[in-house]
Amino acid sequence: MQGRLFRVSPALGGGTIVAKVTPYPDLPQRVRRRYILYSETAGTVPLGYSAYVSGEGASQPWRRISGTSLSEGDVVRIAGTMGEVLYRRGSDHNTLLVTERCNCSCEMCVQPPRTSDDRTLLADLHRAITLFAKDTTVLGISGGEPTLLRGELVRLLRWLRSYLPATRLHLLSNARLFRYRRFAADVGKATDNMLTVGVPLNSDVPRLHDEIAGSQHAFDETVRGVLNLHRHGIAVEIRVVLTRSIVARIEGIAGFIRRNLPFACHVAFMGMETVGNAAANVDRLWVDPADFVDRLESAVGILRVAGIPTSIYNLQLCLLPRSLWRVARRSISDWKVEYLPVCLGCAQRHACCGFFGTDGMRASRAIAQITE
Amino acid sequence: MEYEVADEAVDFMFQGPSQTLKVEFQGGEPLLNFSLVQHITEACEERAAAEGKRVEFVVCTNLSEFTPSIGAYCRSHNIAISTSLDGPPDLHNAHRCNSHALVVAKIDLAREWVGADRVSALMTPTSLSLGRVRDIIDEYVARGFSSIFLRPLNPYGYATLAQGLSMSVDEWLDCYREGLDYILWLNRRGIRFREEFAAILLRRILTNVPAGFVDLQSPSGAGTAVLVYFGDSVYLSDESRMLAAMGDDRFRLAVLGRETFAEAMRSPTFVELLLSTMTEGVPMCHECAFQPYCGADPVGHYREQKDVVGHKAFSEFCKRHMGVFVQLFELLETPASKILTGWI
Ligand code: SF4
Ligand code: SF4
Repeated sequence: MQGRLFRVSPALGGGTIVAKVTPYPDLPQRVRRRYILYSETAGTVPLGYSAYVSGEGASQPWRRISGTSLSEGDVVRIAGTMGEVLYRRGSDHNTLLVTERCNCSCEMCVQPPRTSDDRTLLADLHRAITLFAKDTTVLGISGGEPTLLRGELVRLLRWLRSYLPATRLHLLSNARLFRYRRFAADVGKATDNMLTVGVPLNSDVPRLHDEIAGSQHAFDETVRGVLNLHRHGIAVEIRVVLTRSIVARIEGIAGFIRRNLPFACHVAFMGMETVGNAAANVDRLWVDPADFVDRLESAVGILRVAGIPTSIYNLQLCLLPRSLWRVARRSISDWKVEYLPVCLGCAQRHACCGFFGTDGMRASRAIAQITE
Repeated sequence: MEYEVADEAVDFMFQGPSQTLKVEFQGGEPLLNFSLVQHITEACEERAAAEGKRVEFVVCTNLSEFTPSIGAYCRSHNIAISTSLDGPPDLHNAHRCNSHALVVAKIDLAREWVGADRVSALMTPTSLSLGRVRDIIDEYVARGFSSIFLRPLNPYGYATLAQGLSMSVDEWLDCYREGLDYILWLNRRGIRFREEFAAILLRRILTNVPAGFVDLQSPSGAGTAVLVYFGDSVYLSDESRMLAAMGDDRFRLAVLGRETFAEAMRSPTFVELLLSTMTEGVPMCHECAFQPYCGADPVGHYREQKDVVGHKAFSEFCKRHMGVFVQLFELLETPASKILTGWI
C-alpha cells in the first residue's frame, strides 16, 4: 500500500515531527534529528532519531504504522496518531498541499475547500523541502487555492527554488488572483522560468464557466490572470476536466484556447476523478467517455493544427481511437492507480493510465481488453 | 577600496582575454561596504554585456551583516555566498569569537534568498581541529550542506600567525584520509555528501574539463587564472598580498592606472615566473607520475624556500598533493570508486 496518509500507534508524543526516512541505525548522532528510523524488525534502539517506526511494532519507542509503507528518502510528517507522506523519493507525482481554502467551489472539485491552519502547514512544508532529494525532477503545488496565501506563496516558491534549483515546479491554481499584476510579477521573479501554472478552464462561455466554478466573475478574472502570467514569463497549462457540462462545449473550448490563449504551453483534457464534490454530484456530472470520444478527437485536432501540445489524462486506451493514443498519458499517480480484472492480459496495460483506486473505479461501458 | 580605484580594477580585468570572469569580493567584511559591492557588480555587468562576456560573483562574508534586502540583491544579480564554518559550536567558537549560532542562522537566511546550492562554507583547520574531522563533517551534514572542502591550513592565516595553531603536513594528511573515509561511509548510509578537493582532483584525473582550480595549473595559475586586487595594486594571489603587507612586494604584478593588463602580463619578471613554473620541466615534477594532474605554487614555495620553484623534496605543497594523489588512486581501485566518480 502506498497511501499518502497513514496511522501511527501508539500515538507519538511531543508535537509534530517532519523528518526523512532512513533504514540505517548508525547515522552520526548530530544528524539523527533529521531522520526517522524505519525498521521491519523493530530491533535495538539507537538514541537520537526523531522517531522509530516499524511495520511490525514492538515495545516503546517503536511505533507501528499502517496504511502505507515507507522507503529510504521519503519525507513524512507525524503528529500524534496521524502520519502523512509529504514526499516520495523517486516519484514524479509529489505534490505539496499548501492550503485547503479556496475562492471557488467547483462542482467537480476533488478536494473541496475547508478552513485550514495554513501557518503550521507552511512551517512544516518549509522544513520538509530542505529534506527532499536534490535530483527531484518535478514537484506539484496544489490546494485548495494556493494563491490565497499571497506573499506566503511567493516565499514558499522562492524557498523551493532555493533548495531545489533543478526541480520544475507545477502550481495548480484558478489564476484569479493573478489578475493583480504585481502578484504575478512577484511570482515570476521568485521562480526564474521554472514554474508552470495549471489553470482549469470550464467553458468558452463566461456564464457557464462561472456556474461550474460556483463563483461570479471567475471566468473574467481567470482569463485576465492567465494573460498576466504570460506577460511575466510564467508558462501556463490549461486543464479541461471532462464533466458532462464541460464536454458539451469541448470544441468551443479548444477554439477559445487557440484564438485567445495560443501561448499555452500545454492543454490537458482530464477524465474525472469521482471523489470530493465530484462524487457527491456524480450522476449529474459523469458522462461515459464512449459518448464523447469523437468530439474529444476533434478538439485535440483543433489544438494540433494550432501547434499547442495537448494531452489526455485519465482516459483508458481502450476507449480512445488509436489516433489519440499518442496524446494519452499514464497520468494516475503511482499510489492511486488500479486496474480491472478485464485488464489482466490486456496487451496495452503497460501504456494505459488505468483507474483511480480512490473513486470506486467508475468505468465506461466500452472498456474491453486490447489484444495487440 | 575607493570607487575610482574599483573602476580602474574593473577596467583592468576586462582588458584580459577571458570570456568568463569570476569576481570574488573579499575583506575585511564586504557586507560592511555593500554599496561598493553593488557598484562593482553593476559596472562589471555593464561591461560584460557590452563585450559579450560572462561574469560571475561571489561574496566572501561572515554573514553577520546579511539581511533579506542584501539577499534580494544577491539573488537578482546572481551573487553566490561563501562563508566560514569551522565545525561544531565549540570549535567554531574557539576560532571565531562565539559566532556559531549567528552564522548558522544566517546561513539559513542566505539559503532562502540566494539558493541553497549558492551558499557554501569553508572551514579553516588549526591544531584545535586535530582529531575532530568527523565532528566537522557531521556539522556540515547536520547544517544541510552537501559538500565540504577539507582544506589545508593557510600559513598566513590569523590563527597561525597570532596563536601558533599550525598543523603539520603529515597531521593534515592523516586528517584528510580519516575525513575522506568517513565521507565515503556516510555515502554508503544514503547521505549524499562530497569532498571538494577530491572532486576537483578527480575531475582533473578522469575528465578533460578544466579543473578551474588555481593550485592545479601549469604554469602557475596564480597570475594567469587569478588576480587579487588590493588597494591600488594587483597581486598574483592572496598570499602575495599578505607578503606585501609584511614588506615584500615582489608578487605585485601591476599598479592600477600605471600599467595596462598587457604590460603587466608581458613584464619580464612575470614571464620569467611562468617559465619556471611549468611543471613539465620542473626538477622532480617532470618525472612524477602525478605531474599531469598537479600544479605549481610559486608564492608558497617562495615563502617556504625563498625560491618560486622550490626543491620538491622539501616542499609542503608537493608532500600534500602527492599524499592525496596516492590516497585517491588507491581508492579508485576499490568499490569506493563508484561513489568517488559520482562526485565529478
Ligand atoms: S483493458 Fe484495461 S488496461 Fe487495457 S486499455 Fe482498457 S482499461 Fe487499459
Ligand atoms: S606531486 Fe610533487 S613532484 Fe609530483 S607533480 Fe606535484 S609537486 Fe611535482
